[in-house]
Amino acid sequence: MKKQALFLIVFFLSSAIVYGQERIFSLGYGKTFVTNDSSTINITFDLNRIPGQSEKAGGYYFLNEIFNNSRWGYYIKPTMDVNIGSGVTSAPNNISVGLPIGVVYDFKKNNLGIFSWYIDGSPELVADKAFTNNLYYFSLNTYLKYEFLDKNILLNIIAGVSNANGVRNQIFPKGNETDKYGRLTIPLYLKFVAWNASTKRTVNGVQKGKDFKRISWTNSLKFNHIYSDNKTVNKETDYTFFNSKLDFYITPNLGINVTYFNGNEEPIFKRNNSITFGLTLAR
Amino acid sequence: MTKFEKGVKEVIAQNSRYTVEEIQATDSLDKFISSFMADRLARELKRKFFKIDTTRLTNELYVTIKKVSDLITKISSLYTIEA
Repeated sequence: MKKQALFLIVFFLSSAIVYGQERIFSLGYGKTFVTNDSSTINITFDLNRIPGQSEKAGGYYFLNEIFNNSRWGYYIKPTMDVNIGSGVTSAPNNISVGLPIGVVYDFKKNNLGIFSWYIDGSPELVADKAFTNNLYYFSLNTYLKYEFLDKNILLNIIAGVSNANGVRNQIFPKGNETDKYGRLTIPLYLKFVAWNASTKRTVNGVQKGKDFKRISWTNSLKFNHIYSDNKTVNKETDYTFFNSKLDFYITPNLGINVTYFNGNEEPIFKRNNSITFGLTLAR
Repeated sequence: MTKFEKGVKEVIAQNSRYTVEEIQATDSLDKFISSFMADRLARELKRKFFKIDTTRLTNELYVTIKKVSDLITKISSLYTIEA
């Protein structure tokens, strides 16, 4: 009953907020390669996050201002990543929320493109599917954001480093257990868009339609080094996690998508290897 | 071209690979600077138009302001309301 209520709350919340996203909705059918859980139905909701990575790009801000009239700015923005579905390994965690507070420096445009440099700190919670294995920590992050955009392609890249310090809290039928948790991460993010499709046509001498993107391809790769944790939960120290999402648009508003996860990710670093196919609705 | 239209286009041009002349008011903003950099665009506009509420503009750039003309209208209205 509680799970159903949570599902409904998150679904209606996501329906209200994602209207503002370019990618309105995606419903997928997936397959995992690690467990017997061979087919899954997934609904994902991301606010300011790319699955598997707190990329801090785009989305809703509590605060985004500049210092006087300098190239420096400061910001507060909420991040959230909620995964609901039947597959326990198709997504690395159930819920991940944070509140980065930081400063940013906007470099002037140069021949390579445009760059902004971000430094922030964020209290964060990462929970597993059953909310029985939870991480509470404070992360310090710095990353460089880059954009190249011309008539045919868009390229976005984020590269940085993150350090998290906090605790792992495990909830057992009889009592809880709390251990120190520490993580160092190098996250990389790449987005590629090809604006190579068009519905433009001339009708009675009047041009109608528009150019639109045919391909939107986002990738994130994380290198995690865990330097402090419960040795029963986490026997290793180094993990990678890779996520790739490809949207192929048939029309400006309708596309098919493929999402692929591979690697180990917080909070329990369970092996993850899954692929999901779905429909994308965009506005 | 009004001073607001010229000013908005200058800021977009300073943050894209396009010139002021290539930027048309009817075009989508994403053609010149993607939503990935909307937070930066809002800060850059604030550096030129001091009456902007940068936070509010940032969130509007993600949700409601999709065309160059929408941005010009939004900014010019900030100045004409008090005039």
